[in-house]
Amino acid sequence: MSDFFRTLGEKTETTPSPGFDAAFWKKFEGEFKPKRESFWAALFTLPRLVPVGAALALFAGIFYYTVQTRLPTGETAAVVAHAGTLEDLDLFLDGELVSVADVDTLDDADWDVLLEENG
Amino acid sequence: MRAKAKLFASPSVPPYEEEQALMLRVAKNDEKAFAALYERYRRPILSYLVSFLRTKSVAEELAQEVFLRVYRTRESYSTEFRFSTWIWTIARNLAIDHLRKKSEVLVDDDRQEILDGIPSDPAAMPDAERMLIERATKEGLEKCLGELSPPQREATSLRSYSELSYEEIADTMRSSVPRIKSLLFRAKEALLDCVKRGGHHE
Repeated sequence: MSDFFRTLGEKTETTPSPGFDAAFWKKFEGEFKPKRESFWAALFTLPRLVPVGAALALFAGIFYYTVQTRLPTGETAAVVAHAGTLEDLDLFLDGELVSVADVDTLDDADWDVLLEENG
Repeated sequence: MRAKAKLFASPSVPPYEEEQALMLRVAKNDEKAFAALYERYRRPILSYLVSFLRTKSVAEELAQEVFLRVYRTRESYSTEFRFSTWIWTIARNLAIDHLRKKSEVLVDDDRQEILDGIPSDPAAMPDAERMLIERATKEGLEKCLGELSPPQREATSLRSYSELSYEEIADTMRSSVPRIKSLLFRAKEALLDCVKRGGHHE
């Protein structure tokens, strides 16, 4: 006994297109295989990452420099408050007003003259 | 993996048991077993979808999706079902989903009810009928298949491209065996009539 439908099936069977299998396995690998980057792909990606890395390094450098040179808040306030005093102290110690070495040898009369001269 | 796997070699094991064993291996991520099932089913699944949907490009897309879905759901496969019934059901559901999205409603034809005098084996045919089908061109036959009602065409496709029994076709189509036999009998009559007319309308 012949099978009508089997004969019909053989006669009307559809052949997959040439790229059918390749397209399927590509979909399969895309969905189920872990993506592994090839050496060449990595090599291609590297140059694109260089500017990003350079920008990050520059930012890190500026940030580090800023942190290193910035005084703690309390110390900054103290410097601002005593800025004038400190400037006078520098002048005083630099000997522009008086030599520190000479101070020990001044008697009261010398001090009077000295203070009178400097207002 | 892409090479044709020769995993259907044992003649002593029934095909469905062999396929179940392969599918259990697939469930454990055995890609060679999956490739073997793919090699076996790619052509009949595609042929079924082409005859069902009538568009090869769409059928190819869906056939690939059938196999992706088989692999995606590999862990849920149960040996309670034959692999063939399972994969044909997946293919059918995808085809019906596609048709629904296209708003093409499958209308069941009431005239295809069970009729008296249906032969016990509607697939059997005399030599004259076989010769007629063999002589018909592929294009003519496909045109005649396109003239069948959707349920007739679907039952015919499942019978032609799968190795499913009437019971399995009934399970796949969520129908009964007598109804499937009726559909096939009517489809065969319509096809022979169409081929005799040379694929032309009367």
